[in-house]
Amino acid sequence: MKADHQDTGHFQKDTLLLLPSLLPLLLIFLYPLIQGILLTLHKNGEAGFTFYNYIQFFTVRDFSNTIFRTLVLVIPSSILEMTLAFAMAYHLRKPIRGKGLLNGLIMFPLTLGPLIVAVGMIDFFKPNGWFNLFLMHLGILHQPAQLLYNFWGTFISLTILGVGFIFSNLVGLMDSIDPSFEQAARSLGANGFQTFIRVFYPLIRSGVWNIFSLNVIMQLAVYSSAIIVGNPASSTRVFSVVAFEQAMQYFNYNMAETIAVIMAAVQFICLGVVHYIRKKGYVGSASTFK
Amino acid sequence: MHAGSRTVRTHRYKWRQILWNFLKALPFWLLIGGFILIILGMTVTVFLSAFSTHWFGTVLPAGFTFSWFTKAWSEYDIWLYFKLSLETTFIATAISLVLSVPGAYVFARRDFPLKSFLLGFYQLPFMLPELAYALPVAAIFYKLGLAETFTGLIIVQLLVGIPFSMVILIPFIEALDPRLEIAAQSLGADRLRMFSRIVVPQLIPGITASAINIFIRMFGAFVVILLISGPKMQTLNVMVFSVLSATGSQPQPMLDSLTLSLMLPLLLFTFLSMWVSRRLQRRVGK
Amino acid sequence: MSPQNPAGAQTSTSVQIEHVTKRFGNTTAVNDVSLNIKSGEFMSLLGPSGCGKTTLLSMILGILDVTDGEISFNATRVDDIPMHKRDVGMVFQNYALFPHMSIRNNVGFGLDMRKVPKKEREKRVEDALSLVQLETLAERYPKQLSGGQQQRVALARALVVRPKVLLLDEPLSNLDAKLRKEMRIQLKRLHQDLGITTIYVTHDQEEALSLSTQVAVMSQGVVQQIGTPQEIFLHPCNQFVANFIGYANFFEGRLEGESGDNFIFRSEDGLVLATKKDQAHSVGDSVLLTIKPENIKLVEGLSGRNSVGGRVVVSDYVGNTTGYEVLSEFGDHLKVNVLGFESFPEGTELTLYLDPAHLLMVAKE
Repeated sequence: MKADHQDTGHFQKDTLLLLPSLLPLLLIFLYPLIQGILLTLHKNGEAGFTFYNYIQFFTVRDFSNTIFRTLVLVIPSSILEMTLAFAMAYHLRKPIRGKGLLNGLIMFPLTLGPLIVAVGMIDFFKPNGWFNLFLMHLGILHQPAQLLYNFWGTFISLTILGVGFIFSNLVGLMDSIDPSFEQAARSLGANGFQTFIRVFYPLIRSGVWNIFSLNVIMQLAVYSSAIIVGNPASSTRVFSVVAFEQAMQYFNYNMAETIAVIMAAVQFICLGVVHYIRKKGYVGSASTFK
Repeated sequence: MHAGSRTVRTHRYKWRQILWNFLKALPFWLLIGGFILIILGMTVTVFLSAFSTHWFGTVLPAGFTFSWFTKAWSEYDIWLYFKLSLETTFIATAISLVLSVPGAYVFARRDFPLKSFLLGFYQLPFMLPELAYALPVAAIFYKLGLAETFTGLIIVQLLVGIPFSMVILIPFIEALDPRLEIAAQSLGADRLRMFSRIVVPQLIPGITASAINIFIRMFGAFVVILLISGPKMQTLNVMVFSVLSATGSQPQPMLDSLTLSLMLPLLLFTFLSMWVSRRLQRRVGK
Repeated sequence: MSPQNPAGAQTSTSVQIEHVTKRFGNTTAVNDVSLNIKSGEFMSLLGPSGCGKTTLLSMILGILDVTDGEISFNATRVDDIPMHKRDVGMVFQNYALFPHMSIRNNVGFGLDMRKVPKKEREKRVEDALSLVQLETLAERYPKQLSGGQQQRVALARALVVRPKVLLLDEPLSNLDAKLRKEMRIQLKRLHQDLGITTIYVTHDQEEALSLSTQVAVMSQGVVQQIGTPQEIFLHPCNQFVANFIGYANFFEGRLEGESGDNFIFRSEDGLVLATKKDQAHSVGDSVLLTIKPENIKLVEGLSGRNSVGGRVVVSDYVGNTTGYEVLSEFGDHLKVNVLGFESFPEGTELTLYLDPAHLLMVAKE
């Protein structure tokens, strides 16, 4: 970029090259988004501006409970995912034979997507599936654990997908840390734990929180696993389930969109909290040069 | 004597060190092993179940048969949805790339006012819940008559395709050496020829890799398509979802055969993407 | 010892490296190296990249385990104790300053790990920073410092813990030429003041010769020669060492006879040269004769003893000297450096004089 000495004439012409990608997005993304927000301010089928939908959302239990149900599902699973993925990525940082294969397998669910993972779960976690057979054979369980069509079904599905997502991002993040920082800390007398707490973690913490919040964004929108391996009538009746129901069964796009907007608001509040935590500490690059 | 005592000390140290390292690593390996076993277990059971005659409470199915698989394909017209998915995804990938390359070039090479703001705009679809814009898109499409049409499917794929292409193409172009472009211009190439003869050819490896990733991403696109697709204009995964969410009336091997039909192309594309990126790395000399 | 010396107490540590070998799979990076570094010595490990010098340093530091052999400080074995208990100060090639800590905290890190009381920590950090003349920058962050300043912080951070041994891994290689020379002098003064045992890895022969009290030249995992800078420079033991420290012209041949103080040498091409006798060789030996480009002189007129005719192939004028590549009448390509401001163009016929006093017999590789 520094090599360019652009005169303003070219500069303006070049910016026009943005239009082919920008215009379609304005039409199929921004315009509908604005329309959608306007939708929430009308009652289904009526013209006048009203906060009816929002009042409905917060007064009708079935609607307002979705906030709680979604967060109870997503926040604990995200924390668990981060813990598991961090442990795996940190351990797989050393050069180990077959590391590429292990990495690929851990990220594999991400490729498959929630739908296939849900079907795989039905086969694997069903009462007489391999998982329960194995644990009963070991004597850990005496009767099959009910891990499908309830809260835990969706929780497991989110965890499997989330670990894949967080892991794939953490691998790149941890690779970017120059090992000489840790060597320097060790040479100055820090043991493994001190090196981790005082040097390694501070260097990646900002990135870790970023990945965490991206994962929360993705998981707040959980839908297909809540339907297929969850219990969409009660414990996994999350934002998306109710929104889809409003749109596709009652054709009430106004209410459905209201739920989507509130979901976005909850998401931004979560992001705000994460960002607040993240800001208290070193934010910046951890490479030695540049 | 002296040397002997030293060796003993070393051995004891090494033995303790090895034991300690093993104990330290054990929980990690159990975790990684357990996670991978669950993933492999899930994948393998889908395969086994799709081709099983009966499988109930035993370690392995009672017998194997192709009949569920062929039955699933004929009863659900899988080929129809499969073709539709491939066609729309392929066309939408191509359109996304063609529309995004010029913009990505501008982002990688030029500075202009509101640059970071615009970059943020391209990433906004990933930061917002898909439902927030998919619902009004569906409402508008139904009003315009675009819903439940081939064109409509392609257009909504661009919602994922364009932002995703931009995000992966910009770093690719930033990595190209700008001096080649300046050299081309100093040799008398005008801007169009500079772009088509210098920039695009260098980008082809990057575009190929991105195209496969965009393709995989779109093949898995779900929310918008579910909202605007009719019974006959569905992609494969929306169709599979409808069958799965409807009732538990279908026998499990049937559902597994459907899922397998969805999984095989994804596996194929993933291997393709890995193969291409490995070849690319070799070409770059990494 | 000056009162501000942060490396105060421990200065008398000797390092013994005994038959140390490091193998990675099938490749041997360090092969049976033994070095005895006396306390207070400044030892350079000199060699091209991939010669094993950094691997050896990593084993002393503790990043790598030895495959075989022993490393001891003051006759106490250290290769079996973990890195953070070895009390070794290290300056990394990229300095590895913690980007999330201020300069003060970077320097204080090692003291925190040793649980030094707060008052003493402050004083020692202050002393260490003043030792490298950076007292005023204590509150800055590494990114805000220039390369030379970062390098000094890295040095202060390594010294403040009073390490037994100071290790430096090409610390000057990321600096520009002028700064490199300045830092070299600072480093030398620091070593003279503190007297700390120092091991210095470099590929730059000038650095090694100017800083060290002892130099170990390494190649392919093996120490080729150990000696004072003078010994290495004046009496390289083999072709590799000679080549590495600047002997560029080699003649292969036999000692055919003797004449007074000199042997008479005849190269395979037929070039006859007289060279100073030494104890190690006798008439009839096959030897390799070498001379530095700057020790070949241009003479006018007829060729006498030890002179060769030739034609300039390339002339490389760099101001106060000119480097020539000369094709001799025997078909050798000779490299010649001549002091002076004038320069001969390509194609000039010259006579070269190879002084017997500067011709050196070395062992073939």
